[in-house]
Amino acid sequence: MQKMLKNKKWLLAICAIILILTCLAPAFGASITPLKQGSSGQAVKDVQQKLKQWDYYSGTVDGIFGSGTKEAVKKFQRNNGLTPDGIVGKSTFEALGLNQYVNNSSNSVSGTNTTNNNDEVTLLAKAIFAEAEGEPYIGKVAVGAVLLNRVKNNQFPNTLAGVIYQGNALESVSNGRFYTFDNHEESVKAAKDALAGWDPSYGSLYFWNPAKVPANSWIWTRQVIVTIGNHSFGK
Amino acid sequence: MYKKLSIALTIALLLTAGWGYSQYRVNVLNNSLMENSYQSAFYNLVNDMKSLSLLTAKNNIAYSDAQNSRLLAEVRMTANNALENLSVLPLQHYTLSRTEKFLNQIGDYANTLCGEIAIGNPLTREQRKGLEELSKQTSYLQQEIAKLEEQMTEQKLSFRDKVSLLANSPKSGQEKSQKSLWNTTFTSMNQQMSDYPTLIYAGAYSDHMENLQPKQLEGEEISKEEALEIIEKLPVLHDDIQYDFSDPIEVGTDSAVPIYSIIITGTEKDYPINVDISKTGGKIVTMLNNRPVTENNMSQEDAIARAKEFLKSQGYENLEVTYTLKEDNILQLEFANKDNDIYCYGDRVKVKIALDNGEVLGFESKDFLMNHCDRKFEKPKLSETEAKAKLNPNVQIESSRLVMLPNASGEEVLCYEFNSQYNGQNYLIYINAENGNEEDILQVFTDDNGSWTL
Repeated sequence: MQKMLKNKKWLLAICAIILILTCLAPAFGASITPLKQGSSGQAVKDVQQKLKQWDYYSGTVDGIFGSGTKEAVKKFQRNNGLTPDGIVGKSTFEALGLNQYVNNSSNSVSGTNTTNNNDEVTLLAKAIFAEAEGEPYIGKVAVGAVLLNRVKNNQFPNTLAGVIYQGNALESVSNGRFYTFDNHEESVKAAKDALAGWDPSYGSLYFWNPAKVPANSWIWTRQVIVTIGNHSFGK
Repeated sequence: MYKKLSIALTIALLLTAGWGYSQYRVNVLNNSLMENSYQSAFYNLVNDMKSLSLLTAKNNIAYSDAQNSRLLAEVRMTANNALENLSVLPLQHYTLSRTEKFLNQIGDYANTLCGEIAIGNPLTREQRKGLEELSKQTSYLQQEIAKLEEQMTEQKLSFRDKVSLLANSPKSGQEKSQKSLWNTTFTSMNQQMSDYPTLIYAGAYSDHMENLQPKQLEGEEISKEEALEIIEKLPVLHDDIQYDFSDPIEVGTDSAVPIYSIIITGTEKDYPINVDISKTGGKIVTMLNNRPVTENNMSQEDAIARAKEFLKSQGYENLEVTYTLKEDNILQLEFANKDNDIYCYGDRVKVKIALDNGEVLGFESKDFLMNHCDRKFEKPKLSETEAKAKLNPNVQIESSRLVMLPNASGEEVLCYEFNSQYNGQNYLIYINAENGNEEDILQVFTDDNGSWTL
């Protein structure tokens, strides 16, 4: 018990460090020019606009940082728990909601709007792993491609999650094998290839293992397009 | 002695009973969790179908563009929700395929028409007639699902029954009637769903998308021997390695691009090269080598040069890089055909280069083979300046070029592509060069490994 507590403390400490690092990280990459009395330009205009909108500033929105603007900034900073120095730096920009001036290095993607397809890669890799772990690589890509073909086909749900979790569509999802996935490298690679457009199944919408499907199954009515490893692929 | 034994046995029995009871509790809890998510999906579906039926009925009589587009936008959303809820239910796909197709199509069709109205093309008489048909089907579907809901309530049926019925074949008479209720309802619904006319429209789920044919795939039909001859000359093969070529297998004989599939095995037996070659014209359609790459000692420029060299050997002369992504020491490249200085995005091929030795690990040209054709380019009606005037005045334009943009239904539209900045983010904006419509907007994402658009 004592030991566990100790472990927990360690864990907490590590979590705290990670948290602090994540919070600090953006500060390193950012390059901001603080605005102060004497500054001018579009950024000053935007600041004045915001301050006016919130009744801190009554002067004209002219893009020139004068004493009126400085007083308004100080007032805003005081009300928002910031150091009232009258200089618009990172924290004041953020408090004003002007994040574009914080992350202004031109070609980096700012934090609020990044996106990638890692979620899809993982979801697809899980399904490939659970359905085709022992199959040759090309058979893994083909299983991934079938699931993606379903998304594009009008007889199936139109999202990847919809297709994978569909009612009784995948046995491995129903029986839980799907959840034993542990970043199986070849499955992740196959998922990436399938998402990049490789389709060794040639437009198939179904795959099945002929040795395991009962003789009266509906799947036998499907037309086989290609056989890879133990799987038949078809429409 | 016996006393001790009997005490031990009693304790064991009690423990087992306790364990059994706790398992039973867990089971009850899990069952109701599962039942709840099925029930919630089913009742949401009942509700979605009610709304869908109502919306399509209203849309039939609506006569202003504003009202029609508002209703069609809602039809789209509701059909999507219905589809999502339907696909959660524990039913076999073949009892649902047509129903799902119907929901996919009605949503996609509504979306396409909505877009048409937005660019100033009100619903035509034919489109209205088509929508009336879809509306009839919707109301039929709604009634059937409402009936099923009533029967479920009356007979106190749960989805749990449905699931266990699927797992074990039904035994008692009552179980049989339950199973047949589910099956007959969804099966007959599914059959009825094929009774609406084929829908051809400019959308991704239109019926014509299933039977797309290559626009201009030319050449003689080749034999298996000729296929092998072509493949033996592939520049990815090394002179000093003895390769083993599998017998070509014919694949997809009635698909759009029938092929011969061949597996090449070299010294690394675990990593064969899979090659598919089109029967018509003997073009390489797909090539994939799964060899792991552990080192990166090649610049992106050199890798692109290697890719271009390979493309040239396969008869692709005018391709330009449109996308790069570096992953696991492999450079993924996408090329588009540059025809008369116009980027034709539909004519695209993909190449993968190993960054350890510059070997071509992957190649894919199906899109190119399906889409490529001789195009007649006419002078665009809009000048670049006129097209620029259609843009949001707040974006900063960095560059522009003429492109052929494939739309959702595979047709090509001549557009000006404006590479623009807004709020520190990079966007590609496409303005139709004929009528000035804003055809599409893509956001560009960049990181250390490459850039991609969504």
